Amino acid sequence: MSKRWGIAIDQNRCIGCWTCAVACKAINNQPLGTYWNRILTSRPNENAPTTAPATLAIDVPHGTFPDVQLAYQPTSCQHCQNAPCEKVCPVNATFRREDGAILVDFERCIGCRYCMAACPYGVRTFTWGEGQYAPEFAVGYGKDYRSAGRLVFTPQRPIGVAEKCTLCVERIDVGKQPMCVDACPAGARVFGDLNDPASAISVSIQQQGGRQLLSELGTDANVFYLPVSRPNKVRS
Amino acid sequence: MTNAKQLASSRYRAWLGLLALLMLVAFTAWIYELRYGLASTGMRNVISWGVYIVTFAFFIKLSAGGLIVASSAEVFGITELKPLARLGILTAAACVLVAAATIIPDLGRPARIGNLFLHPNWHSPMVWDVAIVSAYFLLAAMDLRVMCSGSEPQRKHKLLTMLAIIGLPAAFALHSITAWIFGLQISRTFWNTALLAPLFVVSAILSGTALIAIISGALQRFGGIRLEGSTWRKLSGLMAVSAAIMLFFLFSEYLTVLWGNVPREMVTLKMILPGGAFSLLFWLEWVIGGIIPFILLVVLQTRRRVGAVVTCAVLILVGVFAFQIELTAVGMANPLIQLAPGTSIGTYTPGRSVFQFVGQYAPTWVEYSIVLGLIAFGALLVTVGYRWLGAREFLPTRAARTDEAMQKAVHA
Amino acid sequence: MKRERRQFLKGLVGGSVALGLGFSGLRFLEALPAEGAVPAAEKIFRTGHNTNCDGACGHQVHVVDGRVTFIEGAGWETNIDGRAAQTFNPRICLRGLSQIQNTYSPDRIKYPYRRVGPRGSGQFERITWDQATSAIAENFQKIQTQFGRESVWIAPYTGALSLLEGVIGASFRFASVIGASAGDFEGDNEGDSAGPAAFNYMLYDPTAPANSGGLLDGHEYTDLLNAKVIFLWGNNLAETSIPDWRTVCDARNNGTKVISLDPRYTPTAAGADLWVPVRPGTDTALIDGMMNWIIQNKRYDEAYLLKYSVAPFLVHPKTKLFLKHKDLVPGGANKYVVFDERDRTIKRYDDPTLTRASLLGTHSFGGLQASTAMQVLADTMSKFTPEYAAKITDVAPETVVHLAQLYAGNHPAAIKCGFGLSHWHRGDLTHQALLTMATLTGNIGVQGGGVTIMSGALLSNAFSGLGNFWNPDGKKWVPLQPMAACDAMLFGKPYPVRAAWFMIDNYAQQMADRNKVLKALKSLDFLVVSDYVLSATAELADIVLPACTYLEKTDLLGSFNYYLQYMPKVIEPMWESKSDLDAFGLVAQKMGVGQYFQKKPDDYIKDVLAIGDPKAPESVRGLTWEQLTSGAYRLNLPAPYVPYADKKFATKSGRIEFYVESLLPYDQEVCDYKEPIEASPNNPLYQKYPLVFLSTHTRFRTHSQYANLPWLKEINNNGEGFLEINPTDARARGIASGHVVRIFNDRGWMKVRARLTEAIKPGVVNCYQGGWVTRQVKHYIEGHPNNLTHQIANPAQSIVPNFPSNAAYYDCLVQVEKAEG
Ligand SMILES: Nc1nc2c(c(=O)[nH]1)N[C@H]1C(S)=C(S)[C@@H](COP(=O)(O)OP(=O)(O)OC[C@H]3O[C@@H](n4cnc5c(=O)[nH]c(N)nc54)[C@H](O)[C@@H]3O)O[C@H]1N2
Ligand SMILES: Nc1nc2c(c(=O)[nH]1)N[C@H]1C(S)=C(S)[C@@H](COP(=O)(O)OP(=O)(O)OC[C@H]3O[C@@H](n4cnc5c(=O)[nH]c(N)nc54)[C@H](O)[C@@H]3O)O[C@H]1N2
Ligand code: SF4
Ligand code: SF4
Ligand code: SF4
Ligand code: SF4
Ligand code: SF4
Ligand SMILES: [Mo]
Repeated sequence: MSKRWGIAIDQNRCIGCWTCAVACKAINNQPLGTYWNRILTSRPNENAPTTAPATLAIDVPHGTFPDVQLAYQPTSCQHCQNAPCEKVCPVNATFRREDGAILVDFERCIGCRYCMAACPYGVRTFTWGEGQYAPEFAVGYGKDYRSAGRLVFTPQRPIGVAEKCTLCVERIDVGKQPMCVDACPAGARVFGDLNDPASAISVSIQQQGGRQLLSELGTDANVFYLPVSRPNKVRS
Repeated sequence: MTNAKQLASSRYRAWLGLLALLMLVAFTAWIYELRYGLASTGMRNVISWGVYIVTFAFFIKLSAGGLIVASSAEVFGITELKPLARLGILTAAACVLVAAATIIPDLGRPARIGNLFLHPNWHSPMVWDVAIVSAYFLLAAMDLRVMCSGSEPQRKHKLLTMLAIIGLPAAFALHSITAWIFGLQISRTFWNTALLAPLFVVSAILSGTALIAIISGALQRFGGIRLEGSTWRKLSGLMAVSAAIMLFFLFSEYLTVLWGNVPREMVTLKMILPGGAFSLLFWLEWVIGGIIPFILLVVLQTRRRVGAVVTCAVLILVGVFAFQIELTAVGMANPLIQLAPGTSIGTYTPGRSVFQFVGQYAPTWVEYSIVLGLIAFGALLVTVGYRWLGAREFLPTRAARTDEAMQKAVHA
Repeated sequence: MKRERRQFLKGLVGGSVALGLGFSGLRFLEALPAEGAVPAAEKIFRTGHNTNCDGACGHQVHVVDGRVTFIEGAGWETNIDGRAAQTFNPRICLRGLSQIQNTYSPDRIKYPYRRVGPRGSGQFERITWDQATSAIAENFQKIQTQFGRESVWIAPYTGALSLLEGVIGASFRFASVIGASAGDFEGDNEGDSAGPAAFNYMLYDPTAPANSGGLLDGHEYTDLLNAKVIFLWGNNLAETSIPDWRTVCDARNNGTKVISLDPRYTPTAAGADLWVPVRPGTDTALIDGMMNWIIQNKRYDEAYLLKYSVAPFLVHPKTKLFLKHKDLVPGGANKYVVFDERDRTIKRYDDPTLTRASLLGTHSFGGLQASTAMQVLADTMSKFTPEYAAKITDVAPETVVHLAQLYAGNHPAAIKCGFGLSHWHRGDLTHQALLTMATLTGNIGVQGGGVTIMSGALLSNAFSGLGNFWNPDGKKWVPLQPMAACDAMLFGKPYPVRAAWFMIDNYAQQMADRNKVLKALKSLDFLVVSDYVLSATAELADIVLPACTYLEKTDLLGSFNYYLQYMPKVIEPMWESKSDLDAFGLVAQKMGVGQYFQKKPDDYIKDVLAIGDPKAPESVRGLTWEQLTSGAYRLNLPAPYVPYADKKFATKSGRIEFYVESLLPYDQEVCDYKEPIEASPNNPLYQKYPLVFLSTHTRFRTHSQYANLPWLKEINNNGEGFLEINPTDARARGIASGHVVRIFNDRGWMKVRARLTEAIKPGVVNCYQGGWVTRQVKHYIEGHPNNLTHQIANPAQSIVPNFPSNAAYYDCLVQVEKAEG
């Protein structure tokens, strides 16, 4: 069977440290103001609350002292099997590889941003202009990467093109793990083949129960969230 | 008489000059935008579509009126509208062209616009829209050609009727598909309603008719054209009815949200309802551009005053434009996932947060200039087309038959 | 070449745009590198991150064209002797990843500068290294002649923790050879010494210089895997020791419970199984309550207590000193005595006829009643009923019991204490209590147990050559603690300090009672600061020297874990920056002691590690230079490393002394709860300043370092500091989220915006320390948390020669009000 790459994020372990977000930023040379991956302050096991912001800043919990609750939800492209972004892209610049990675062809994208309107997770970013970079030279992977002939990564963020997490195809295609998975200091991220029932990711989803964000929309994401199971009872 | 003519032509030239100037400014702004990217607009990652898309959808809607007026004249033989057929088609073609042009400055990679034709993705409503916009433009162009051709009236009528028979469903398709660009997106609660296509269709009829009314009014004022009272009555009647339907649809939409009280949908609606950050749009859409012109138009059915009808039409356009802003910007302002710190916006300004919970958007001078330029472009097309195509010939100039009231209205 | 091409294209495209021909689409297509262009070769270096954050992560640094392009976590090797002792995860955090931004930051100090305007005006002129070092040498010599050698103070703080450059580094060698005073690292009193002091009280000889006890010699992090329960006590581990959170989670996978005791609901608390929001400053009372329950319910480890602690030793009822054999029998031995339960007599503890010493009890001798140390402890603890402890700590009585059950009912139980305990005036007492409780339950020197402040902070047992490095030819610096230094500058006590050289030290904002600090610094005749950014301290200097970041110089990282990490010079120093070692060498030269700075960095490292020396300590024996420079090898220690595993204690009794004779003058011989010096509701000051003011550490910077880095700033409220305040406290003051508030007490004030959060106990507020307060960069609207803190030293701690004081940053009361703006 073909592969179906996915990432499982263990919310029991995730401490919202943003290391994966910065790792993603660094390896992909994202300009200031752009995060392909960001860490949202959430409530344990809530399937992506969609009300107006319950808390106004990161790390601010829900509830009233001392009955408070908090969990972190790192959020980047969910690599939907049924991807709204792919469906709307008028020029097939956004495409889905057989292994589940949703990618953008930087040479084809016309910058219409329809995909940004279509993505329910708000994970697509756009390079609106000449970005501000620190340092000024390109950091990170540093090379072009083509998948099936299509340019899916370049060291400089191309202006006027929609982008997002690439599932680090340039790394996974040579047997490495995505950078965010490698960097997570809590070991909260598991990468692997969802089609292989014996893979670490399948096992962890099987044992801990994986949850897809906004699953009711039927996007069938390849990113799974392993629920918070710690009791965290307050005693005061 | 010569004086008047000179005056007219100097006014005409001033008008053309103004339009050219606006277009020049827009062009400069566009060069600027190309140089600095879309960063020079107010759009960012959360509200990633702005006034360009609003203008696009708005012009699509405007194009409706002309075609509907012309087609109904032919198909249903509504003779009162016949005098407006040519002008209607001309406006329709111009509006579609402007709408299509509006997309260009909105693209991050305008040079690649050809990809739309080279690599179309038939899943994408945007591709359907490209197709229908092209088809619609072709239709309008053919219509115009037939109307202005010298062929014998019998054949002409047959051709026009045929085109009109295609034209009406085409117009419905155009507006529905444009609506579906938004309405099919599960990611935006405010968009994702089955009512959106019907809503677009009526608001298209409404705004399209309003535009025809405005242009007719202008012609009557400056172009020495006289329209019959019955034509005005038809126009204002059409507007009143479609305004009522539009408000009804909207109300039904709001009620569905309010009654359900589903938080993710309420968030957006609350932004618009009185007290919300965008409530100005509510007042513009419901009161200024909705109820007031509706009442006026109903009253005007009995007491026709062209100035008042035109004023109503202007208000209606304001209302429909407000609706389009509301739909586009407010619909995008509230992403489904609203958790701290929000979504990164894609640019960096020292001292400002790079994350937004709720999208913020204000058009910049670049966008204003370009949009104004596009409007000028549309006006230019109509103005020039009107002359070149000799659309004037087909409008009644029977001053003798102008009734008193109309006379008064025109010179008021 | 590639770069030039791009530049050229950029120009070209810019030109065509000016002509109105540019399409962004075209621009992109042109900027694509030509097909088949060979990317520049990439070199990879392994180094360690020597910043003071607990992490000591290994970094794998990618270098292309002489520029660092990426940093990621590096791997770990076996023990030096080749044994594969354990697995240690690659580690890195958001700050480590951001180090590229640090090294290439536009905020770097690029050249040496001399002050031209008034002190603090920020007016400098660029000078050469030669001019700078001459000025330093001349001024130091002049001042030393006039005011005495120790009137020049060499002040390394904790900005970096490597061997040559860091806080244990060359600064002491320099101070030694010029005979200056220096801030003693081991006596570092930035609030981190209260904990180690307690280790010294109980596990070492408190009156001898501490070998740094718990600060430097903790359980290896991997040992957490062996614990049945982990108490994260006043420790925000998930933010301040991020890479170790993985181990905590791995332990939990085995069923270990994780408990967080913290007045704030931190990411650590959120990730724990149980969160106990204790009233800050009262942990000792909580521990005492737990201990009382443990004693009352006989849940202590009797055998352990009898064997390894002073528990059975009798205490003289009058002198309160341990009763000695000689006190009983004239001419008796100077030996501890116990009560033999079988024959009910008092005898020497090593009496061969002793069958069973009694643990508890009071026994009469010569008409006096002598209790065992254990009995003294039990009596002292007896008032700490769950209800009594609850009243002090705001922890519910049943939770006190629950905690005691958890601790005593799960063996081994690990306590990882953080500086939320140490940053208190009586932080020593709290750690004393923790160690006592750990002793009661037999948790010291036990795998999976123990009380750990930091895991292997400094590989003291590996650095056999450190003494010679610090004190060449027996030359010694004069210890002067950072807190005492203010008085030396301001009042000439104990001797005048007229000049200072700060490196790896942002004293002007990181030290407590900042207004006093600023006054002291401004009073100096001559001030030198080496730093890589223009810190609040550097801004006040007469001479500013540009320092290197960790990527630009050679060093050795041997702290915070049990691995040796060689730090190669990865790139050439940027601009005119120099390593601190080089800077010392240049000044030493001009002061006539250049002979002490002749060697290359590598050679100092070889000396300190005794590489090639057959008499090298066991832990590094057999280490070769090739090995050291080819990866991070672990010391030859059993894995995981457990301090005191041999149960040998350097105390007078050779046992754990939870009854500390030398603390009798301070009424602190056992860990009876005492109120905080300031932040207590019973303090009259509380009426005026009813909020406890914490200024804790955040994951978005390491103290004042990296506060300027864009990646970190973006995530962290744009770098802007804020006050965490409970909505209850905020409402009472008319404060809403985002309001500017003034935080004040008698010592000073600061202004920031308020962030209302239920994550903090009512009555407590917190403002993350470390934001910048320079003329150019202000992360707080005005002031800094240290404008509010004090420098009141705990006299009890003064018995430890090299831990005489501790800055109690959190023992601080304030009031908060809504401010204009
Ligand atoms: N990211 C990052 N990591 C760091 C550092 C850094 O600056 N940034 N600094 C490093 C250094 S030098 C140090 S010293 C450590 C410090 O790191 P930690 O040991 O984690 O210490 P703090 O952040 O000072 O405080 C930890 C927690 O103690 C709580 N606390 C405060 N007072 C009390 C109290 O009385 N009782 C209890 N139970 N809890 C209390 C606070 O709310 C806080 O959440 O971190 C090291 N690691
Ligand atoms: N209010 C309050 N104050 C506190 C604390 C608190 O919790 N609350 N925590 C305290 C604690 S625990 C500590 S450890 C201290 C830390 O206080 P500091 O040691 O002063 O802290 P840092 O900001 O890490 O480093 C100081 C300076 O060293 C510089 N530096 C780094 N590397 C090098 C180098 O290689 N060479 C040179 N020359 N300079 C270098 C940095 O740029 C920085 O300006 O702060 C204490 N201050
Ligand atoms: S998460 Fe968004 S961008 Fe990613 S595949 Fe799904 S719809 Fe597309
Ligand atoms: S912005 Fe690019 S990727 Fe997104 S829909 Fe448009 S063409 Fe496709
Ligand atoms: S997989 Fe790669 S691109 Fe995607 S979030 Fe992780 S690091 Fe970023
Ligand atoms: S790096 Fe790991 S622990 Fe940190 S935010 Fe990302 S997933 Fe969570
Ligand atoms: S800052 Fe600390 S935890 Fe982060 S990479 Fe450096 S040493 Fe490791
Ligand atoms: Mo510290």
